[in-house]
Amino acid sequence: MFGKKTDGENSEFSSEEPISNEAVEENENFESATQSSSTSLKPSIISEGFEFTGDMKSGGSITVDGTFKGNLSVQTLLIGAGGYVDGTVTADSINVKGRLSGTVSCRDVVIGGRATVDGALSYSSITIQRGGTIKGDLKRK
Amino acid sequence: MADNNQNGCLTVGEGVKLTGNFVVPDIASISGTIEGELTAREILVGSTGVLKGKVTADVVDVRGEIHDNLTANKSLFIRSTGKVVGTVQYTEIEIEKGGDLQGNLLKSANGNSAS
Repeated sequence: MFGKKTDGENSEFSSEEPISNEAVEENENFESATQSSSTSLKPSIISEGFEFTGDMKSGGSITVDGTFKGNLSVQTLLIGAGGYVDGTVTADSINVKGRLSGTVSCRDVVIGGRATVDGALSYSSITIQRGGTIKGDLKRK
Repeated sequence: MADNNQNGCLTVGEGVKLTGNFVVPDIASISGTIEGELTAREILVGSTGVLKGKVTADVVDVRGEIHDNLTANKSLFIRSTGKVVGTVQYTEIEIEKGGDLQGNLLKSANGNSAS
């Protein structure tokens, strides 16, 4: 999915061609490439022990097993059992097994039995499994 | 549910509207409308049931609506047709897909309930 960025105009960077699919990238080409074909995208992964601070935007899905801090705008967000996301999150669908805090806006949210959600949450559809913890303001869109 | 005229139970049928303060030692099964204060051990709100005011119970199971203020000392279940709006305090919560929960949530650290 990130392969497209090296097509055409970025010829000066062509020496970097073998960019892995799971690399976390941010630039205009990335955005336009991902918005077009969201279904066929492989998930981006922030793996365990990895901490990312900054803004991220993707038309695909992202799995966070490590730590993400900042603004996140994706189609599908999965927070693994050890994962932590803090900041402003906009997503179509969110599945939380770990911790999520901050301002969250989404269509569909599933909060697992051991998950913790803290902050302002705006949703269209919510599911909380027994044992899940949620604190803060909830609003239905 | 609270069918057989059990002691300490309150059953409010569909279309019945009550206003006032109610203390129910056991199960309150609500298919009508209650406005005011309701305290019970267990509250079951049927799909036509509406509670408005201050609601306190150990276990709350919502298929209808609860407005304003809800405290569930043990478990709060919001079924797919359920709607809860207002300030909610709970120890354990479960929401089925389609359930509607809006307002301010507080988790109380009342950890004396098993599981």
